[in-house]
Amino acid sequence: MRKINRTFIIDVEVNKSEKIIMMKKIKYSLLPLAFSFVLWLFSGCGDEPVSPPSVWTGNIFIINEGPFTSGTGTIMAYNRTTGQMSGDLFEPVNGRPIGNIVQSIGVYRNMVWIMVNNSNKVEVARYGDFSSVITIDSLPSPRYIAFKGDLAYVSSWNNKIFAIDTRSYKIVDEFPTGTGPDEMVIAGDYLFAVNSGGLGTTNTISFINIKQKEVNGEITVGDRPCGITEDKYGKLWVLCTGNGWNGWPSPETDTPGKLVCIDPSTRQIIGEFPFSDPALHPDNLIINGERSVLYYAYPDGIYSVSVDNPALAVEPLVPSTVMYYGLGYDVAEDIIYAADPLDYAQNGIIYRYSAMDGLLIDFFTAGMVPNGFWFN
Amino acid sequence: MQWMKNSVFIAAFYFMALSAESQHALPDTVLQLDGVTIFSERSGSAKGLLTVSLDSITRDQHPGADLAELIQGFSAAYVKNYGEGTLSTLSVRGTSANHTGLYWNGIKLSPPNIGYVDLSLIQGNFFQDVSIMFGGASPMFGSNAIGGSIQLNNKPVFDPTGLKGRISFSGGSFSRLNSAGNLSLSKGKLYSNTAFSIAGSENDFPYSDLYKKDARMPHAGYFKTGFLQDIAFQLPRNQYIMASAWFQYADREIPPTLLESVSSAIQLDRSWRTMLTWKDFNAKSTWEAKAAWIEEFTRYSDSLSGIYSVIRCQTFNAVFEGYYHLFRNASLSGGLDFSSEYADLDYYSSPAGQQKLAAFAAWVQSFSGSSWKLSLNVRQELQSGYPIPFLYAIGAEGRILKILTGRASFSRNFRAPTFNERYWRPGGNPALLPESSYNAEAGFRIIPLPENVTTFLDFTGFSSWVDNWILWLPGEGGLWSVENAQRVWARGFEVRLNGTRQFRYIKANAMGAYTFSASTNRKKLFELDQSFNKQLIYTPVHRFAFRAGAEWQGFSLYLKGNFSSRVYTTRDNSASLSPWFLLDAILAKSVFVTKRFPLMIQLNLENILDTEYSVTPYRPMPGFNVLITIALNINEENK
Repeated sequence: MRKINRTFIIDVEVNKSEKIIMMKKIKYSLLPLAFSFVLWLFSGCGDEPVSPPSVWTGNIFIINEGPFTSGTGTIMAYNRTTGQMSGDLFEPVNGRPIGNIVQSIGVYRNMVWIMVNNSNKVEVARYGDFSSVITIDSLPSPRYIAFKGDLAYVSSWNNKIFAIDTRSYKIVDEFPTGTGPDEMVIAGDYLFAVNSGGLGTTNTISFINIKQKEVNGEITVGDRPCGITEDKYGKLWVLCTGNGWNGWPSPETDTPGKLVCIDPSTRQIIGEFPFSDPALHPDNLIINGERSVLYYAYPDGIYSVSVDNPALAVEPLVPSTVMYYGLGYDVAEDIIYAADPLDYAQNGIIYRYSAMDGLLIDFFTAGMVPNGFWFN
Repeated sequence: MQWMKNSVFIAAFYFMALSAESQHALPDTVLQLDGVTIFSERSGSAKGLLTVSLDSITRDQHPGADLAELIQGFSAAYVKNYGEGTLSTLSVRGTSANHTGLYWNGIKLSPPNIGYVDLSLIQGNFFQDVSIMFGGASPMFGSNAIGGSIQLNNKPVFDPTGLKGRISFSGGSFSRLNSAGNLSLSKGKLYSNTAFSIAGSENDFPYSDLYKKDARMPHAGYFKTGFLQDIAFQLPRNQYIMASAWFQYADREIPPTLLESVSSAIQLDRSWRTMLTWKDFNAKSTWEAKAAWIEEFTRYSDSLSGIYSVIRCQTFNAVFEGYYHLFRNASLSGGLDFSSEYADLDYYSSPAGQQKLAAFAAWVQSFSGSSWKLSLNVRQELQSGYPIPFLYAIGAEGRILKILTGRASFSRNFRAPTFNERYWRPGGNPALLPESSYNAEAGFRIIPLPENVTTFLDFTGFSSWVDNWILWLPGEGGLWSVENAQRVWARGFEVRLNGTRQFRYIKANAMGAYTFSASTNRKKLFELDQSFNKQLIYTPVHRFAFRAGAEWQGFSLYLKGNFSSRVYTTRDNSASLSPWFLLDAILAKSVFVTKRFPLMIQLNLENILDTEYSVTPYRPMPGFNVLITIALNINEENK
């Protein structure tokens, strides 16, 4: 969904799955009891942000978006200590699947907010046991979420960013954006959202003064911005994938990707690093724990860029024949997690690479079409 | 639905009333025609294959039904769809949708862009003969016929039979209404066959949503209509010419899955199929020339997703073939088949086209004093885009014992890559090779009562190896493209039981069909591929269908069952849909209002166990529902 318009591709049939190889499943039948206990422990924590409860310490949520139209996404927990992998955390507790295309999640104030893109809804579940709190189903095509104070900001391919009260779960505001707002960063009083173009193209990011609730404008970056993050200096880095699709070179319409650095205080571009090949498109921008090294996926592997000495590397840190569909950085162990959906018709694989030298540590099987991670 | 207005059905009734003016009556008995019915010399030139024809009981019990519904009524082939009137494809012997060929009087119907036909857009009442020939038939019919082939046949009958036919009107649950009819007239040297169908439904059946709350299926309505007209003139010296025109139209809402809150997708399909046939038939030889023009239009729109897609396909097909009885025990047949195909889609860089020429021949040898027949079929197709293998089939069939017949066949078959697979942008691969298959099968039939050939037990074991199986796959660097990626071994067996018995005033009838098909991927798609040796998706290992009932003094009561074992929905078999069993009951009574116009009143109780099931993930199927039918029959015996 995110990268490939496969609506009309005949004979591609993909679906949900839960089988795990390499790792044993944990028995999650006892989890509700444990989670209830944890919930009770944290039930008096008030409205202020708190550290995540310890029940998930050492676990990484694997987000499997699921097959487009014909199945559900899932969220699984991978225990980095034991190497054990759970089944889906949502459906066993709630008696229903999450929905179609789980795009991303956010954890805030003991709640997991799940963006279910093709089902046009946001699921809010208790962090401890994933039991459902509410389904916000009046929100079309949600993509990503960011939090500040009592508000959650959800980017929607309806070309809006919705502000949701995290206490009442009501939509309290909405801000128009460019086409296909996607990943977001909140820096100071400003929310910056990349306008991915949705299934089309565009080349801007929108910025919104969330304190004054004003849309302030757009910054032209590069074609189809796809990712944004904030470094240790407070600078914003925007990765633009460029027009076109990997593997389908179209000399007439392809444009090269670009890495762009922005000063959020002035909203000015302070650095641009264009890619050379218009037929190859980067994606999945992440940053390390010290917020000093950027990583992104490219058709021939995972590349790194230092924010102190920014330059596009010639050689990948992790050479690969796979264009990873999702990347994550585990601060606790300095490990890069890379998601490979294989043929999108069976359970995908998660590879773990050392962020230091790019060497493969191990790999394990996830769910259908893994696309992202949440590190507890 | 907005467009399904009463006026449409008033028009249908008006047409029925006009037609009924000139109707003649029909007996109330039904005739079982299960078994091999040869409508074309080409089908008959292949020995050793099992052909099962749509029987009159199934036909009568499902008036106005499309092929998807009918095929489930008389075979254990697996139909994949997501409800009444929705896109329906067929899996025969563990193969996929585009491994079953569909032919109208021998002319291929599958459009060049996708290679298969939506069976919900083919009306059963349009054809005198609807047959499934199981197994590989590429040496006779060309591409796609790997798992099986469906034959739709009409031929003129120059008898002074006057007018005969059947017209029905049905109404039932979920605002389902349909009217269908076919009337044939033979007078002197003129033969006319007219068939029509008009159907619509709100299709808003109840189901339980994800929260276990009662809901009604939204945005699932459809309207379908079509007609077919054959006009034939008898010429001197056992010749005739026939002109045929077949129009089909469908406007369908695509419902959301359980995981989607709404759907705005709408699909419109419109097709014109025309054919001109000349035939010369004598005791020793038959010559036939056909030219067909097929035009298909599809428009898919989804305002929520911003998708608007238009597909136009055109096919011209000309066939000349002959059959000659050479010697006392041998016959030779053969012909040429030329086709020109064209498709225009937004997703191609430019309209795609191709021309193909095929030459085919068959030798059938029988033996004096023996019932055994041997056949050899060969076919070579020429097409500039890709190499097509030399196709052949050798077959044998005959009597082993008084009550036992046997048959066997071995053939090489293929499926040509479709235009979508070759030209879709992005991802199409013009360098694709055809899928290539070797098929072997053997079977026997026990007929315990030689005077009653409709009572039998039939067994067939089959095995087919399909190489260069075409898949969409992401390759190195996330490069999606179409590849000759997979090798599939589909094997299994079919058992078919049929029996009729007369007990004084009661005629009992039973049919059962079971298929075991293990269809597995025998080649790793990549190093960590977990689909290796796993069952293909949407191909159940076990399928079983039965029908049993009795008729007494114009009353008939039948029970129908349909079972599918688990179907996997992911290639690694990690996700699946639960097995299901459906039970239907059909109660009918013939009423002779007048001798000229016997009337049949029928009640179909479908899914009487109210089974909750899905054939595709998160798409619930209708529970218990009813359909009431009134049918008028016209027959030459009451002329």
